[in-house]
Amino acid sequence: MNGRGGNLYIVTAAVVGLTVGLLASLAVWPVRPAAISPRELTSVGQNTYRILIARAFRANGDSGRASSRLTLLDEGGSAAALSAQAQQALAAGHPLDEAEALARLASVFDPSRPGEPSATLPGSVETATASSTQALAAASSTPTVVQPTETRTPVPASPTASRTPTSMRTPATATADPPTPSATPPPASGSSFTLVERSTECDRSLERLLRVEIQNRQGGAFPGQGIEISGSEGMQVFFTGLKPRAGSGYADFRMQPGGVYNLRLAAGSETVASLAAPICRAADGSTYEGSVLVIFKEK
Amino acid sequence: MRRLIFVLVLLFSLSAGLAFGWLALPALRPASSLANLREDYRADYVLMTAEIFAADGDIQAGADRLRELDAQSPTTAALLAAAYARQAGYPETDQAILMDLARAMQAYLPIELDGTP
Repeated sequence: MNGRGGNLYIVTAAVVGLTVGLLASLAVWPVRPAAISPRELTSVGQNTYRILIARAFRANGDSGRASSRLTLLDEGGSAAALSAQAQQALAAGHPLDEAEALARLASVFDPSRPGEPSATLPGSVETATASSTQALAAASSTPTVVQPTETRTPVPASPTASRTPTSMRTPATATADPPTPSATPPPASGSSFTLVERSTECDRSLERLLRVEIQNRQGGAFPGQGIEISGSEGMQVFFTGLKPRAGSGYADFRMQPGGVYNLRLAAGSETVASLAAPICRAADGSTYEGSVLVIFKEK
Repeated sequence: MRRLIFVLVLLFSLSAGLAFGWLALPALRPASSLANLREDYRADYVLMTAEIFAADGDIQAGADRLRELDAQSPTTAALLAAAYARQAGYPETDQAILMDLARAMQAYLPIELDGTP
């Protein structure tokens, strides 16, 4: 008893010391975490940041500023990252406007759009943009710089992004995983787009591909537009602009063998019914299912 | 002798507790969340939130976005960003929308400010 009692003061000292030390380090003098740049965020944090950039771009239409902000996350491949995140957002059932915003921003960095000043990332951004963000972009490559520079310039008032004409009609050979369509979608509340073309094509590289192009009033590409497709397996939405190489107004969908689909635009259009891949014959006599092209134009 | 041992063990365990809290815990929980962004990046994050708020007026969504920076007080995050923008000389348009957001947040989730009645 004496021996145990004799050691108790050591245990007491250890417990009290550890407790006080821990409390002091966490509550009284907590360690301040290192300040980080967006590039050092976790992938979840980077995705959140990217969504915010896309939503801010949708709000202010300032592609130069969006471009500068994206360079804070990664130097190149922003369009690919945006497209990939848009597709992930769709697959994960995130709000549609999130995927739409990402897709619309991805279309701005579409390298297939000649003459679009914001199609490349800084330093080749020619448009005048808010330097508060550009200063951050510069600072990201020199981590020791803490303060942004003082060279502020006004934010350009006119949006540059989404409705500029671009070359279309470039079919993509790669496609996303096929959505699983089902019943006929409910009727559209209003019709903002009109069907201008519905055709089929026999090209083995486009096998069972349902290709959709959406044009604005001027005939240019219309990115970020939701397309609802339904068939025997369910209904899903996909967006234009997720494949910048094929054009920012372009989207495609791989049909199931023998599948029949109805399609319409989420923004409002007539329903294009009974879409099915044509049966084509190859030079060697074999048959395959070709592709379908549907083109809508803003009214 | 017992007193000396008590003091030595106390000092050792105190040091161990401090070291665990300052070194081991931060290493277990890497500082790579939005809350750890540097001040200028935080200001830009809030500026993006302000740009969105200026367009859609959705204060709840704005508060949710700012909670990523400051889980306890999104209003504080907005006020600090507005102050930073002023200090760093952001364009007036940016300062204005940051102030609009800060005012809206203060009305939505008020915090006590020095000198505020």
